[in-house]
Amino acid sequence: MSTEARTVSTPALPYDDSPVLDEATIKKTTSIVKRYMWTATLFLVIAGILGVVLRQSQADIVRTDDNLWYALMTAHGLGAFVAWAGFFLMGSLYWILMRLGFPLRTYIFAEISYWSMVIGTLGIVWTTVIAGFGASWVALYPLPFYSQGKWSDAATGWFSFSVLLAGVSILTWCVALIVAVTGPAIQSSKNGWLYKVGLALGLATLWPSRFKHSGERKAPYPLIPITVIAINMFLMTLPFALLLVLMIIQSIDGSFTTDPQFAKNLLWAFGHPVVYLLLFPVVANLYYFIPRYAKRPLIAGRVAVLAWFVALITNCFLWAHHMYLDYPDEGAQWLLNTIHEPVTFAIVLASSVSIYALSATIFKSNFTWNAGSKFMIAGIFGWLTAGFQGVLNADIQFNTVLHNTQWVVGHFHHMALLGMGMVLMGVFYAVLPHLYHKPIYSEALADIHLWGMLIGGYGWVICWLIPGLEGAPRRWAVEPEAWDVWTKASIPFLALLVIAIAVGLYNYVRTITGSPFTVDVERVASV
Amino acid sequence: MNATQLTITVMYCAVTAIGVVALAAVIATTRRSKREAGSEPNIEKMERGENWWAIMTVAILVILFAATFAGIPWLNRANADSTVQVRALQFAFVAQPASVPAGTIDFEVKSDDVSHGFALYDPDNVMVAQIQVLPNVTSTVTAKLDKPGPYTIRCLEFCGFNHHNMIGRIEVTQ
Ligand code: HEM
Ligand SMILES: [Cu+2]
Repeated sequence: MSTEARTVSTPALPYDDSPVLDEATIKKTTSIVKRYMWTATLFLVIAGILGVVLRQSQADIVRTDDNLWYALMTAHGLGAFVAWAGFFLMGSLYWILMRLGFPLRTYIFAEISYWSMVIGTLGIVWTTVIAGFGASWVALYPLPFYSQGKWSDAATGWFSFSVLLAGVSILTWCVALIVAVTGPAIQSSKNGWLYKVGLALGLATLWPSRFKHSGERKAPYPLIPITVIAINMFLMTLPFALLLVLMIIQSIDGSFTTDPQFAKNLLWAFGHPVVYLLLFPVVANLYYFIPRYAKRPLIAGRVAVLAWFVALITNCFLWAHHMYLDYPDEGAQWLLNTIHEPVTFAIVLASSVSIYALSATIFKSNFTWNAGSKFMIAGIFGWLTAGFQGVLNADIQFNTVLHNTQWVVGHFHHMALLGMGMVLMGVFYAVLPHLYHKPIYSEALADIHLWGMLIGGYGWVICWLIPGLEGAPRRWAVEPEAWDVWTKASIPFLALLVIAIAVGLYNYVRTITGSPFTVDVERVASV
Repeated sequence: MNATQLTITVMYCAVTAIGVVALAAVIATTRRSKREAGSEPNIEKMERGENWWAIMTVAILVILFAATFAGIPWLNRANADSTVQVRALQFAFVAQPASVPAGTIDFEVKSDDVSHGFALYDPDNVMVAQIQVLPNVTSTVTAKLDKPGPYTIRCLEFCGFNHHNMIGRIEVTQ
């Protein structure tokens, strides 16, 4: 009975100053976190199967119908990115916040967020797979209304509504986070709400004359990326929500239209920040776990806080890097594109400083190696190697040859699965023992899961990156013959990747069906 | 590959190799033999190192920005010898004229319906230029075409169920 309380109230490590929490809070939060994580994992299975169907069709094993291919691609992209990775990481932050002493103060937002994501995802699957909506996840306006008879305007309307529900999920999650980080544990010397948000951003370190805590405890580092993404996603989901509403109106009244260029700006105002819906929570998790594995506090200072503050601002003004090649003779899109290049470069600082901070924390430490930490380290490698690609994509001259090629597909699968997805899978290994008081079923299976994903995964993305560098186009159900060989070559790697992930899922499931710890959870779980 | 693609490939491979080796070296210091042989890590020094690391990051980005500034297509347009009008529509490209003498060519691309991408590949299947084609506006991309022969136009913005069949041709003569 008291293990639950001890997990949190006994500091795992000397510097771990997590405040004591009551049992009810722990119980409620734990149950919500479990629900988010397992539901997201179910969506991974669905989206993963769709991905396999897509790739094997391109490799000419069993061809799907053309529009079906694009409809499955639409479901796969949203399903894998938002409903698996995004959703899982959203749930993981509730757990991190609780451990840091900032538990959810009301569960209503987390519940709305959960259900709107679930219903939205089901709606997306319905409108794509059944109703044939196949305009890709970006649904680039006005394509949803030019289906050439492949889907109806009603399908467009319901698809937009479903995505809007996912947007509502993100918005309510942001509210839940902001309410949590401004809780009593922030130890604010003033009462203002905005002032507390400033403290949660670490401004007491950056600007000590203005921002002061009432107690000794400063805002813990993981709190900073959490607060940044909560503010960013709240602001940047709104433009996209507007676009979705405009599309819903048009699906009802066909005479109502929107300007395509304006629509594309609205889309990407959300479309880039949503990448950080994955990355920043991943960083928050790493800031939380890596110091605990290394048994020393995160090595970070004012520069880290500054870099995050820069990220907070720049994330709202960099979307046009997805529109570099939109520079029509009319208008001033080219000017916006030009400005958004240096702004995009500025956000690199947060990643760069974070990788330094984590490396310095690991350096010569008595590091604990287990399933969780191995996956997280593998994820840092993926983040580093895919991150360089991001910098190259953000460069306008380079973008003119990389844009909409398979390089981009390789890049985001590399980043999403081998970078952030790896960390996510490590987080699952790390939190399961805490959520269920059961040890990981098998460290050996976790090793197979890890190495299978590394070998299979890197082989699989390289088969996109190389043809992409040669200009092979993206989103082609049937690819040009010249690059067929790469598509075929990717299949054995993909098979290995899929087997590895299946082994991992088995390991997770066996963990929760196994028997509980007989010894102290903290010592066995190591974090 | 064209020159830009080659530059990217070389830069990416080099930087990634350095990054992976450096990170692997950091990880290796956690081995017990290394820890016991070496001195204690100097935490304060590593904290100061963070400032230098940040400065280095900014410097590299500034250099990259400056070095590629001249490659921004809309700021550096060459004077064209001739102009080709291209109509993009679901799911075809129509080029007027369909044959041009080698030289610097302006492609003025317009869409009839949705967003398309105009990407031009030379007779050896190397990409020479691309631009996005929003509806309602004219998008002009300038390309230097010195290889005579058949060029392929591929659509590089997803535009519907037949997107992968949206392929056009243009002939470049001596
Ligand atoms: C089982 C592993 C996976 C396979 C086999 C797979 C396969 C594919 C394929 C074939 C495409 C179309 C590529 C093209 O444009 O030619 C695609 C697109 C995409 N994938 Fe995956 N993928 C997998 C996992 C993931 C994961 C884990 C994520 C994200 C977390 C993801 C996110 C996306 C996105 C966002 C798109 C773009 C969809 C669009 O353009 O509308 N995929 N994937
Ligand atoms: Cu097209």
